[in-house]
Amino acid sequence: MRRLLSLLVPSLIAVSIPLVALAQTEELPGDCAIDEGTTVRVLLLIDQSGSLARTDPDDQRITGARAVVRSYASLAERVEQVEIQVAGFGEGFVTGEWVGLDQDTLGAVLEQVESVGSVNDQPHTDYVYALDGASEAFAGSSPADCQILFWFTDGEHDLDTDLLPAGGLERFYYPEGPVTPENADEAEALMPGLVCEQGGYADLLGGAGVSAQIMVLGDESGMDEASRRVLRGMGGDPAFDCGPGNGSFQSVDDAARLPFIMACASQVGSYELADLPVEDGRLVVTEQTVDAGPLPYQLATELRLITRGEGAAPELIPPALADFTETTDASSGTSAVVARPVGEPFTLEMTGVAEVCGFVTAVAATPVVSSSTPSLYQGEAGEFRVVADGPHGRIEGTALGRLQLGTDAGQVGTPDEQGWTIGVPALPSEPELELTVDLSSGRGLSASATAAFALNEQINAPAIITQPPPMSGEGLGPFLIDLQVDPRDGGEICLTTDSGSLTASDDGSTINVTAGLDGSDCVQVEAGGIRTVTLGLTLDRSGFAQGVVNLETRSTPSTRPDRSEVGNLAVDLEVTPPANPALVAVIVTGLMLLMLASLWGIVYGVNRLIGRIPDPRRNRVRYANFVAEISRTEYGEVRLGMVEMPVDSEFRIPQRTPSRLEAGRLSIARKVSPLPWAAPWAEIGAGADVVAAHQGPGIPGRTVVSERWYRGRARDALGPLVAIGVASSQVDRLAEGTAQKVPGVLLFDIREARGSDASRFAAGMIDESLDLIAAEISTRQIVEEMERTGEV
Amino acid sequence: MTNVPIPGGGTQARTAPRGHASASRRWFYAAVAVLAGSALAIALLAWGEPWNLSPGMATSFMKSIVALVITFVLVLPAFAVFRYERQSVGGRWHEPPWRPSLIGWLGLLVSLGLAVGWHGLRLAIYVARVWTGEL
Repeated sequence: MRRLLSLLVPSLIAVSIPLVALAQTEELPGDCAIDEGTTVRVLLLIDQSGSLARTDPDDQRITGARAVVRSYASLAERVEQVEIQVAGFGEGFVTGEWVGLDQDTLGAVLEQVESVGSVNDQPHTDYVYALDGASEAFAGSSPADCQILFWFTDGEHDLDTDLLPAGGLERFYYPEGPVTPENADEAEALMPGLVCEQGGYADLLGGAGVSAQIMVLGDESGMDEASRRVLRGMGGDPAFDCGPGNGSFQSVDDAARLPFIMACASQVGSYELADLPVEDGRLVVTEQTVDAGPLPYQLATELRLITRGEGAAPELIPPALADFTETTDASSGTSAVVARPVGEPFTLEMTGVAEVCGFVTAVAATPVVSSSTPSLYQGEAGEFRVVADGPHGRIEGTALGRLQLGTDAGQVGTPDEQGWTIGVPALPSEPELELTVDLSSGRGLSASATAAFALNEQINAPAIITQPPPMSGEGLGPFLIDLQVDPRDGGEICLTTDSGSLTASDDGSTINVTAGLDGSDCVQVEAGGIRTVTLGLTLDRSGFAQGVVNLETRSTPSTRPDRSEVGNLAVDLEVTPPANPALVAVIVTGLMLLMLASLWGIVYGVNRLIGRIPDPRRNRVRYANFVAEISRTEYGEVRLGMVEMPVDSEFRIPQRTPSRLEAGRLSIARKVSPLPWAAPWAEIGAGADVVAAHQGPGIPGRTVVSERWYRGRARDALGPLVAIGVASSQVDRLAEGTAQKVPGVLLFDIREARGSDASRFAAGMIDESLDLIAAEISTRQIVEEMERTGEV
Repeated sequence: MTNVPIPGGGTQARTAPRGHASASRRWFYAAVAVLAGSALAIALLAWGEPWNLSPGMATSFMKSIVALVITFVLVLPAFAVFRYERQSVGGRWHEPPWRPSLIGWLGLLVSLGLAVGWHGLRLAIYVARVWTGEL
């Protein structure tokens, strides 16, 4: 058997590391997905040929095989069952037994690895026997969900002619007889056909669902074509046309690297951290390193770092993580660190690192569904909220963007900082809605959840029974509005939208409004009668604004705290800035006085207008002076008689202005009170101490005796009017019994004398009026006398 | 009382021409109608309006302006006619049962009260707020 020694080919080192990177996914080899119900069966097939004494004198393959066993033992915690069989091959197949692998049996299996792996005295390397034995091992038991052949060899298929027994070597696939040096090449040549042709062992294993993980110690490029076809073909390279191509292949040229490579290659059920940064032998892995992988670091439950140092195992600087283990193999310089981060930022630092492979085990995030719409009704839109729970708690922030949420029931929105919103345009016409969501955390990691939501469910949450009335005020508030609340079953009313805005009417800027119920966002109400809750509105700045502030409410009944009703409060709010009360009062008072003054002026003007003296010319009014004699009779009565009657030539037009009329001794003056409700009047006087006048005739006519003037009307200027003026001295002399001559004035519309002489008509009027005046004076004197004597 | 005049109704002492009497009565009744109608219009202009005016409330602003215009252009001239016709008769009144004088006086008082006490006052306050630089 030829040995492949390429330990000093540095270029292959670089090639081997990326190959490790391709080996790990969340699935097992053969695209076998794992979950809690998966059964796994692993056949660890170890080369026992004598060449190992030279290619692997330090038995590094055993160390590597242990790492493989440990890896599958850790997988046993996450699947239903892992069975393993440790078998050897060389000239023949050394079968083992299927053993259930877990932490309890790990020690025994490791001993089997030691036992089988330490054998290195087989003279030949026969692939046919190896694969035949493997096929029988898998075929002899019930198949598992995932079946893996981990095949380690250090060389090519070889029937070493130098070591053939004297009688030849019996091979079952060479029926012509024992294999001898003469026909060894012919027998060897049968191998690729037996393995790779249709119906061969590769097909046989592939058909049984077995995925081959092939590990070669040495330079596989130097192998003969037949062996290379089998190893690379079963290792998954379709170019070699051998088997279903569901395996993987790895070669390592340095036996010292074998534990490291085998450990890396066997990290199943995890995803690999590619391109881990190693600078000057220093490796730093943080949560950001994990985050650079296919999953957010919050989902990571276990981090494995397989490292190798030159001459000595790398050294781990004790991390802050509470849960971590470190296993080192000094002979190969390999170290395996298993750490369990907790979803918080962490740092793992190692020194003396030559090469590294890292893997992360993760758990799918679990969706949690809730309803954002407090009350769901058939046919109406519904909104639901989905958050993700990871192994370390609720997942928030940008990590949500790396998860994929799907559902058939509605439309999934873009995740925000806390989760996703699912909108259902129209809820079904069924008693409840079952909403199922699938949350994919990455390849092979997904979880689903189903939640049922009742539709058209009646709840007796507290309700605001009337919309608030319009509110106006000045300043910043708070502006308080009483709300009538029907508690129903009692519960809580909250303002889910406790702010709004108004647009200032002067500059268009925004005035923010903050609202509260009895001073807070929520208020508790007990079941019972209608009660009052005070809504307070506060502005962030004052200004002129008017508008409707819409506030959303959520009412939760105490009997069903999981349900709630939403409502809307529309407050018609009108606000103004706070004013300087004193200054505003002064200005308002001034303006009001100005307005009242204007009104007063107008009304006063109206009074002056309607109190004006009529124009005598327009009414043909004339006046004439006359002289009368006043005397007393023997009975004390006053008698008036005309002494000098007017003649036609003496009728004159009175002198008139709107406010005054002068007709000889007679004067009529307009008087307008400053009180607007007092009617205007006219003062009528005869230029003497006592004025006596008669207006008439008829009902409106009257006889007046007064001192100096009497109160009449402006229209009295139109007549008819007979007035005499008596001086005080004449009154005294009259009392002594002396007749007195007194002047008089007649004022009348000369048209009334139409058809006769004006003087004669006037004389008649004067006579009649003097008689009435005399009677009036007599009556007054009698009344005065009676008052003086106390008779009345 | 009987035999007391109403505007245009004439008197026993001075019987005005019939045409003049009818015209005077029509003017008087028209003045009463204007006073009552103006009071109603000014009240309607105040109905439902907020107390405080602000710069964006053009409609409310115009309503108050219109109310004041009605007061000065209609109410006060109507009151002048009303009072002139009433004054021109003098003496006591003989009025129909619906008391046109009472309606006229009430119309005047309501019109002036609302125009001054509501429209004028809120305009004055608005002007004062503008004046004091609170805008």
